Amino acid sequence: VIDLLAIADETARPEPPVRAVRSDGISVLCADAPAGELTADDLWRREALVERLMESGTLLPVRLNARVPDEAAVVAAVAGRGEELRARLEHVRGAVELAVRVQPTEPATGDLRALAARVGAADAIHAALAPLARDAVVRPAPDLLRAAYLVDRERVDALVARVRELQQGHPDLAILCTGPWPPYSFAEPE
Amino acid sequence: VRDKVLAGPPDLSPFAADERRLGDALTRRINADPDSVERGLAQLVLTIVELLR
Repeated sequence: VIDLLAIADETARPEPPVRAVRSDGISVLCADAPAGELTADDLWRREALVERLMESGTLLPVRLNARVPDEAAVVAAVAGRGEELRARLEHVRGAVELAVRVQPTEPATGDLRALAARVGAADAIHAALAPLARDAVVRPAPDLLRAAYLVDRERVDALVARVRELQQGHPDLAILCTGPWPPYSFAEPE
Repeated sequence: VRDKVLAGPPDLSPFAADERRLGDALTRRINADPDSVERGLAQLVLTIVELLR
C-alpha cells in the first residue's frame, strides 16, 4: 500500500524512503504506508516527512491517509489533472502556509455588544494580515478567526511581527500564529 | 504543535479545547465499528490536521 504525500514538479528527486511516480508532467511523491493502524505518531511522522520535502522544493501536500494499492493507482489518481496541478504548484511556489487563530481570553458573557466587538476585532485582524499574504482562506470555526495565509518565504517574519503587534493591541484576545506549514489550504482549486 | 508556534500568548489555554477534541477523536477511532474503519479514519485524519493548525 502506497501513501501519497505530495505533488511536486516533474524534476523532483526525493530521497528514500520517498519516491517519485511521474505522470502528466508532474511527480507524485509517495512512500510505503506504515503497516497496521494509523496512530497519532504516524500522522506526525508523516507531517515531518512532508515538511522535509517542502524544504527541498515546491509541493502540494496531499491530505493525510491518501492511500492507494500500487503505482498504477498513483498514476490513475492524477490522470488528466497535470495542467491543473502544475498551475497550483505555480500558485504556491516560494510560499508557505501560516495559520492564525483568534480566541477570547475570557469566556463570552452573553453580552451581544461585547460579542460583536470581538467579532469586529477578529475581522480587523484578518484585514491587517491578508495584505501581507499572497492568498488567504478563512475557515468557519468556533474560533473568532481561523485563517490560513499563503505567505512568500521572505515575508514570513513580517507577518509574524504584525501578529505580535496586533496581539499587543488586543489584550482581550489570544492570537496564535503557527507554521510554516505545507500549503494544505491552497493545494486544491477554490 | 507547540514547536510550530511563531507567535502567541504565553498561555495557550484558550486553544486547549482542541487537544481535548483530538483526544476524543482518537478514542472514537479506537472504538470504531470495523465496518466503518475507513470512513472513521478519514474523518480522524482530517480532524487532526484541521484542529492542530
